[in-house]
Amino acid sequence: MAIISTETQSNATIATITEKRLDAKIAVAFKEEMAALINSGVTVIILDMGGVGFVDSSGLGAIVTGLKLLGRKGDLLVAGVKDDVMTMFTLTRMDRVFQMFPTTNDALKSLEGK
Amino acid sequence: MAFIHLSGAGDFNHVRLLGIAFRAVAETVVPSSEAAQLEIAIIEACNNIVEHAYSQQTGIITMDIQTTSEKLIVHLRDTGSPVPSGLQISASPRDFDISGLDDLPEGGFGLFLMDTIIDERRYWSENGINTLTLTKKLQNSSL
Repeated sequence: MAIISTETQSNATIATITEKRLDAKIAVAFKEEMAALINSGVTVIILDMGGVGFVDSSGLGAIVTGLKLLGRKGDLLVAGVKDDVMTMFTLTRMDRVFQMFPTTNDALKSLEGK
Repeated sequence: MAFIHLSGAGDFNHVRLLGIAFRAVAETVVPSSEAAQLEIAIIEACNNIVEHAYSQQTGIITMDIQTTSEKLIVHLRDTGSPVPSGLQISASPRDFDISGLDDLPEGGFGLFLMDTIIDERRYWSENGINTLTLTKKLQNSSL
């Protein structure tokens, strides 16, 4: 079962998490899907988390893994994080590591001119 | 006041279900946003049980949730490997350099999150049963 569905828009790939919970149950599978996406040559990913209501530290760690896999050659933008989920990012200071946007459109706009 | 007893297999599927059940109970005594934070602490604790206590064996996680007008107390019990003494301190995420991509931590947040969200954490192992008690003081109880 796919955890992320992808859509290409202008110069970015929007990867939407289709699960309501990004937790230890699916963190490994999510990591593998992200790795496959990155290995396919995608360099700019907007991770749409608008449908996610819960993230634990293994889910967050899997997103960090994606960021590391992209390295400095690419961009991983995080969009649509709900307030309850944002708590996980702020408590771990990951809100300062990721480029975070209220919506995928905001993330796309930030890429204009790049 | 309430007392709820739950139990489930010590795997990530049941940890998810225990978390959902916990949050529903917590929302009866704290605002939804606070219940969401508490769920993080509970899930991190349960994940640790699956990853460490039950890494070499299968078993059951029991969760007792007790609410009073002043506190929400959760007792988590397992019969797996006990946490070795001295291994209860985790590095704080505040230690990492946010500009160093390669050094970003991909895990190890569990205890830090528990201690940030929960007021009191106690752990002990006795007669083959490991007990973790997490206590949250209630300030704006809705009940």
